[in-house]
Amino acid sequence: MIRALLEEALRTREPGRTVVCTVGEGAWPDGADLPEEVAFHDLDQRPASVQHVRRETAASGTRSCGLTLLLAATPTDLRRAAAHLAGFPRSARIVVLVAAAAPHLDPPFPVLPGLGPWGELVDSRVRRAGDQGWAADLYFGAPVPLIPVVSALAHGMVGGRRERPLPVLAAVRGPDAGLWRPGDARSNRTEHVDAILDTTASGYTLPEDAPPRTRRAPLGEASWADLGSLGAYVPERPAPDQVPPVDERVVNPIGFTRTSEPVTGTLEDHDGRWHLVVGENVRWSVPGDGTVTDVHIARARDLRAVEIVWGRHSGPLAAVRAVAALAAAGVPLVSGPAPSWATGLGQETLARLRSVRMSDLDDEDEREIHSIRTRRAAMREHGALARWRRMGAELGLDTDTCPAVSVLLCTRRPEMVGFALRQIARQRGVETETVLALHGFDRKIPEVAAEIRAFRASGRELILHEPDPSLALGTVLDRSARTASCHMLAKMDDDDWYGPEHLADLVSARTYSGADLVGSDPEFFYLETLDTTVRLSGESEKPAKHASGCTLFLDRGVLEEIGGFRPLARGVDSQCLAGVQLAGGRIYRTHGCNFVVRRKSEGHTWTVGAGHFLRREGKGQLPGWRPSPLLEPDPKDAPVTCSSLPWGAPEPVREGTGPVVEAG
Amino acid sequence: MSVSTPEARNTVVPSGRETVRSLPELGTWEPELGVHVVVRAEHAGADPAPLLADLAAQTYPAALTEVTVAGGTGVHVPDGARPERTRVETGDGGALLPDASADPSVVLWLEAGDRIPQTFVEAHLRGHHHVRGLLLCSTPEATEQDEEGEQGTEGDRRVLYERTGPLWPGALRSGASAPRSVLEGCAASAGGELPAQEEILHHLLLQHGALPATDPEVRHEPRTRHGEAGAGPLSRARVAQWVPTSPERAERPGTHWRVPLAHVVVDTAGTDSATVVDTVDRLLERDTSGTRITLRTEAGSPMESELRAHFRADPRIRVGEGEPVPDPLVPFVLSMPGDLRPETDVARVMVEEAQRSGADVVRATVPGSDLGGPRLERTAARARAAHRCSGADPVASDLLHRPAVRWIDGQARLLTPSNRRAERRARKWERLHEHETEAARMRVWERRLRRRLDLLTRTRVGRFWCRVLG
Repeated sequence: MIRALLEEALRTREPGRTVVCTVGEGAWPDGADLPEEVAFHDLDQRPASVQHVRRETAASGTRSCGLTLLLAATPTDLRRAAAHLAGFPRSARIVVLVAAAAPHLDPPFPVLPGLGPWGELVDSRVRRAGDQGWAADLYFGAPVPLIPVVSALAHGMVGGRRERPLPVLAAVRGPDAGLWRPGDARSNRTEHVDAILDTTASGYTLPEDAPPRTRRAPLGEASWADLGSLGAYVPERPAPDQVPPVDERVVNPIGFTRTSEPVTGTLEDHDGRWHLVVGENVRWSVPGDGTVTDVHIARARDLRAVEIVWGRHSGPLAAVRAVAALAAAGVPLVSGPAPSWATGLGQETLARLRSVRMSDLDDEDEREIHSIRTRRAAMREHGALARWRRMGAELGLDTDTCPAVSVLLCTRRPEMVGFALRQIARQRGVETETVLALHGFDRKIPEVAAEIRAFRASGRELILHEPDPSLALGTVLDRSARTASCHMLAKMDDDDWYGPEHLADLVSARTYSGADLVGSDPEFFYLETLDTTVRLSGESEKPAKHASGCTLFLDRGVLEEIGGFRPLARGVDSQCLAGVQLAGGRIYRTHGCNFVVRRKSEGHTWTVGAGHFLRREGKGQLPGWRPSPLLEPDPKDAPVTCSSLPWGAPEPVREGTGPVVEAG
Repeated sequence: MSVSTPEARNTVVPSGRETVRSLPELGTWEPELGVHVVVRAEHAGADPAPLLADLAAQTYPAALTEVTVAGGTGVHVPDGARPERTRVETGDGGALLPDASADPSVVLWLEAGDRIPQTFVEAHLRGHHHVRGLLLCSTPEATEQDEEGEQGTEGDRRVLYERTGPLWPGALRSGASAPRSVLEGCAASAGGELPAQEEILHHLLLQHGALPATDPEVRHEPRTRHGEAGAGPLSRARVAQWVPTSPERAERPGTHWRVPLAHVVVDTAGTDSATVVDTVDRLLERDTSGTRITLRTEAGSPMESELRAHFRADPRIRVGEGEPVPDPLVPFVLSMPGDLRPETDVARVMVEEAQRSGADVVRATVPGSDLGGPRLERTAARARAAHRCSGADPVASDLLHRPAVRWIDGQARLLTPSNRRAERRARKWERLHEHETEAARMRVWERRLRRRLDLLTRTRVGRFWCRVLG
């Protein structure tokens, strides 16, 4: 189908230059198959450097094109193509063909930034190309630059209100620009950058006043054959930061499902190249540079697990990159002892891969927990955002390595202040600033004062205010949001349990989903009166219309755009969600293993009885307090219960006397 | 170089309501309990001699073993190897317990034609020594491997699987009585001399607190088959009279079963008699399981006299103070408030929930009161718990299963008429039928129009008229 669309575009082109570019592995035409007047470029081989651009334009001139065709294998490849398009002439017609895309990605409708060449647009057409591909055909009245158009189309596919740039404004030299700065169309610049990443084989000469530079081995020169050659710049045991990062906007846990087929796959090598083998069939082959794309991930989602057989791929860096991508996408991976050259995967990720056996993953809960832990480790060690934060710190640039979140906490119950503050104090991986609203009482109550002192002594920021008891909950939250200083806001409740990675997981979900509001799937409910934990069956890791109100996480700008929290006593959370939807925003729901909702018989703004949850239990009910193991429960905060165990753990048989005994 | 993931250890994972216990190796533990082996030789031609020879060669101490051969007048025990303390009981047959003997604590039943290995009795008593209240059943050698992995693995033989359900498919209808052992106290409380129907015996023993279990090392070779157990309609009816969940109940509908599915106890505190009458009437109207109802009232109160006056003729209903006398045959007891006003068969809904989930207690929340709704309890669970409380016990360990409590939403399951769901479903089918009828009508109309079009465009006459009419 792609070939047919290509031929159609060439057939209907207007007079003028024609350029065809390809990126990613696919059944692309050879340059020799195309008409003579058509210039053919393989972007994977095209380094992004000023010298290369100058050489090209000197040879071909700067006159504009009548037609520019960009053929991308997947949206992952389309995003990294942006870094290699510098120097291409303007074009009056731009056709982008994407051979396949993961099902959860959007069509390539361009997201218009309000500036740029879009005033020249005359006609546009976006249509399906085959079962999984897309074709975007744009006509302009006058030739326009290529990069903004391709960036807008790529952004349209991954979604999100605006493209959040990677930290550290860096230029990349060498053929791996798109791998190191995926989606960054400005990475070919030389002026006004904070740092330069050199991925050329021979090094790159810079003037004295150039920004700080760091070098990384080019993937194309890091094959097994090159490892032993003289002058090769490839470390034998690379560190994780020497492996090109994972583009978390496309390779991420979106689409992960708790249920899976009872089928496992093996990542094994045949003739020096890795393939994902299921049964006796090869499902897909890992590209030579190790770029596992969104389409590869989508085709592995039904598998229960993938076992890594550490054979030889094209090179050590490419092999590690492939595994890191699968791990970051949440594909359950199992591995034996890794070879010495796999150190680039990172200690934490490697340990996760070795922490389970294949048979353990037959259990849905175990599989999900393993996926979550693995993707956390992989995102920390290989996610593009985290990677550039660390590189910025290494280069001496003032980049924050830890995201900062303002937590909005409102309570009417003095006895819950200590509990609520402990939930915040145990958060890892983020810096928190807590805005605590003592709604209807003041800080002078001895227990409250003691808890506040203890919280402050832990070094965490705390802002206190004591709103009037007559104010509605929504108004109080609004005032708390205005007092907060961080641009990311998280709402937490005073009586629910939160795991130590709760905020870090929400930050990560915000990054890879590009959503305006992120929340968790409401799964675990502890019905205090019944001393029973109910687990609802919901779907997570997908865009949704609803997320749990105790886990709302959004940008300050989004909150301002929807008018803040509405001045209501009840329904504040649902109105916030509705406001984001009405404003055209996107809501993303991540997994629900990080928190447990406490439901008492009364005292909730959402007034439903225990029967409401019993009716909806999808994953069963267990006696006592049974959170997910990911909550890492603190015994001090456990409720008074007959049984306090992780969900799924068997109850021990104990000695006892008397007839049937139960709570309630 | 390639590295493969090491093979996971092949362990047996019990499923459902099974619990695994580890037992000591045979020959390494100290026996204390006495055992009375009852060899049933009720059928003509059953020769107990080989089995007695096997019993004589057992590793279990002979001083703790007594053997009784129970059968009809024609039973004959030839000379030969036999245990020291062996006697013959003739008579009506069917007696499950020997005459009272204070020493043996465990009764072990065998069929005269069975053959057993040397460690058979020891393996049975090992289980009883370590878990109280077992109904330990032997597995016939011809039985296929259970799909739940009950057999264990080579390195994991010394395990005991306790479960609260049937032992293996066909275990109770095989026609061959599987050797089983049970504490004498449990068997005595189950009634002692009873019809020897497997299903009845099993049900009664469970109701009296026995916990069925199997041990992979306890196996025997059955040599005699006595035909299908209870194949005749009369005997099946007998079973149905004893066991409330037998399939024969469906063939003989009625409201007055000897063994109801549940005994309902209605608490009238805090309500008036009219409300209680309404609740009871709703229970009886929707009852499909032969429930028996007790209305718990304060003695001498006006409520009591009003309710007695209203229900005096109904044999299913008893009015009185205090807890009703428990009938060990009834598998469930349902306690509910007097103002519930159910819209469904409460007993059946909650019993089905208990059976489906394996819970010992099922409770329902009702609007306005999470804890004040109906509560269903499995009487066998209470009996099991009671068995395990007694002191002066040579059994070393005394383990108690915490009963599983299952909560359901009473509003949706008990207080919403089930026919409302059926009505919605019926409406959907009706709409679907309407759409299909409409679609069929339009297809007919389309065919008619197509024929007319063909007439006009494919025939000369038709084309002529088209030209004329323009």
